[in-house]
Amino acid sequence: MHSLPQHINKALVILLACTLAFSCKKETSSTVYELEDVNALPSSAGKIKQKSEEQYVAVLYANFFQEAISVSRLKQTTDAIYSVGDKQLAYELVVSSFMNDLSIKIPNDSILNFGNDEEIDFFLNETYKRFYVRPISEAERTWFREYLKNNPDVTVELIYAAFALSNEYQFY
Amino acid sequence: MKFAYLPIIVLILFACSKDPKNNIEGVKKIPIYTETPTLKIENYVNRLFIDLISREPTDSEMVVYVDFLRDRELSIESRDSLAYILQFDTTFSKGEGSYNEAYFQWFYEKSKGRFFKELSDDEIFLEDLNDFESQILRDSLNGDTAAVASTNVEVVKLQNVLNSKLNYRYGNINISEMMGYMIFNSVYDFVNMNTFNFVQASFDNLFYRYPIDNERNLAFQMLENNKSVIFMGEPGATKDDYVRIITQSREFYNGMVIWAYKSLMARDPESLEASYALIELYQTNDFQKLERQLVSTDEYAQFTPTYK
Repeated sequence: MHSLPQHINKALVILLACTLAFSCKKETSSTVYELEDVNALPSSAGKIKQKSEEQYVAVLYANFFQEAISVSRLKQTTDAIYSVGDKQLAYELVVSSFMNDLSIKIPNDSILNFGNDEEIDFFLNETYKRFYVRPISEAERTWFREYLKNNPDVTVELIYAAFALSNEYQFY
Repeated sequence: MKFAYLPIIVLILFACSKDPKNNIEGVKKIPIYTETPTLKIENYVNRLFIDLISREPTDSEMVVYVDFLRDRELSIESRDSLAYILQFDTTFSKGEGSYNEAYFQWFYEKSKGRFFKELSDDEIFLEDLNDFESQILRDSLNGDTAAVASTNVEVVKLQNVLNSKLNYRYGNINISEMMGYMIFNSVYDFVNMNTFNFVQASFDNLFYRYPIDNERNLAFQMLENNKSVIFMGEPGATKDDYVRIITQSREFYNGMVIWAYKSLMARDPESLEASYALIELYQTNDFQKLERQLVSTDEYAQFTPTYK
């Protein structure tokens, strides 16, 4: 068997190298689409700042009376809070005092129609919006529905007081 | 040596390959906020009211300002405008006078809270003021004019604090003067008794750091011995000089930026944020503008834009 001429041999080697280099190349897509991160956090996660005593009183007053508190009443109320050692107890007294004011703007107890899920849902949606400025979660809704059905003596005043004294309401 | 050129061919073929990463199609940077749920906007308006005028909006205000933002597609400019309304609108509002009055009342209370903590009640200042005025009466009856003059200075310092709310609101004093009054009075001296504590506290309150040894020593010489020194690059020999120097330094403005970030964003500023804000605040003395810039951000508003 005769060997091939040297120049043909070289050409074959180059051809083989080129074929190897360009064959079976992994295909890369020219466009890569990015995805945006989605955070899964509890609905109250954005509330990271605690209200000061002044802020708490002013916010509560605006919520209950639908107008701004005067500087003198704000000072009077915060002085009362500072004069009580137990801040939670002081807040309870403030809420109670506001509740006893005849000009308070809260719904009538008739809104709690315990046989009607739709009306209860409406009341809960509005209450969560009014105090927490966020939608009610399904877990909260289920718990509240059951609670209201099993406790027909609960009044709007008691529910509002509970919201006003809750931990979440201390933050914004 | 027959195939010596082969590695060269292979190297040439694989060198200078185009980086496929260059082809990534990134997210386009045109934020659209129109899909933001109404409750999120309400939450934003609520926080804005609490932070700027220390109360939440009434139901009617909530409707008006949510619509205000919605009509302007929640743009950064519309948020800035809403914050501006809360800072400077003088339309009468029952209970608080006006947004402008409520804003500066709250700003004054916040400023006092920063320096006096639980002792920030005006009553405490008024008590001191009454004591000094009684002392002036006694000293003048005794004919001690030197004591009357020195007590009068203390009275003026306390009045400066109490009047700073209106003076700052009407632009008679700037932010550095107002903060200077806060640390230059008998109540602050009482809270931070003795020179060492005064220097530590004034640095901590204004700069959010403690003084280094050199600063502490120079301040001590200035305050305790009335010795003329170069303190933070400025000459000074008295407590007046000390207060002037630290409230007019660049670091004072850096402290104001940190304070704004802490109170509005609940975090410290990053270096770049602090540096941008510092330059602007130092040049303009406009703290309200800094607040508006912060409350207009997506981070504060907690809005997540979609991109077109």
